[in-house]
Amino acid sequence: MKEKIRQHFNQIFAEAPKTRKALDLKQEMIQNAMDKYDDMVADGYSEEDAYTNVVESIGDVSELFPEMEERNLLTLPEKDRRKRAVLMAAAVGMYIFAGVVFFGFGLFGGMLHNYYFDFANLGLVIALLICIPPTIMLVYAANMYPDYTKKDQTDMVEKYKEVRHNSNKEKAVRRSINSIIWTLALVLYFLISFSTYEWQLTWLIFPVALCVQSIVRLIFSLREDEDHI
Amino acid sequence: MSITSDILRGHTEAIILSHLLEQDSYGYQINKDIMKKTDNAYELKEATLYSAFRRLEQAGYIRTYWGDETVGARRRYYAITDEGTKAYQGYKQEWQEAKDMIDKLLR
Repeated sequence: MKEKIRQHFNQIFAEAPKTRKALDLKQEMIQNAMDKYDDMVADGYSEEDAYTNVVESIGDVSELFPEMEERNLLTLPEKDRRKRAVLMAAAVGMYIFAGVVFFGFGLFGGMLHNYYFDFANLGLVIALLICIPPTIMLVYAANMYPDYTKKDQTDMVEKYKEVRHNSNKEKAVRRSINSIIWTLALVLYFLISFSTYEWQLTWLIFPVALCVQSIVRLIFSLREDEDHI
Repeated sequence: MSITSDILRGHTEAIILSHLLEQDSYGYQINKDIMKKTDNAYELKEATLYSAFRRLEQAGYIRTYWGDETVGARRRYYAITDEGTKAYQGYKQEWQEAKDMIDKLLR
């Protein structure tokens, strides 16, 4: 029967992160479950009853691994889930609009046969510009997982949770900034390339964007270090 | 009963700190004490208990050490820190105030 308890814990912890902490926790919980089992058997319970009781008293272990829960969309609070759905729907709509603008300009340019002004290229640039906001929205939506979802919070741990919450928010901001940098780089690339036709030089925009991204990351990690001290 | 268990669950951390004020203890012992004090009416789920331990530890309110049992497996003990004691006192005062207020409102 004790082997069964051990197996039950193995199963529970199969999904847990393989960290020293998780292993310690597993060991600790098994030890306490065994103690309880022994006590119950000593009190006259049948082995079967004791096992059932021990297993039932474990409860919902997902709260032990909050970092795992974060990846689960279903644990998003109702309010956030709706906001997320709206964000994504709006983003998709804007992408479609960008596509329509692109083809619209192409068609328009084709009809006019204007040799002085290339409407198709203008359409591409405008379409790319329209793509900036939905990209940011999608990145933000993908990062709005909450880091705690339990309702029974107490004041004592609120502070700790707040710290974690802020760091999550910061991550979302950082990713948004990254996506802005890259979308801007792409738009600038086409804009400058089409207006100057210096394709052999304009690719340099991308290494520059990479550089800017590294600088942003550096700034963020410096600020984080300061917060920790 | 659901109100009772909801309130109790909301105070898991404080209940743990209160037990640790008396003496260092380990998971099962704390749960046993809770059952004894409530005449077997209330028992924490282990997942609730250990996630509370984790939060308290991360907040610096408790520290842990491994016991030096010579027989059987080693146990992980928990002890309250100075900050934990302070936090507990503040918490208890808040609870007292809330309790007084609810008593006044629910006549």
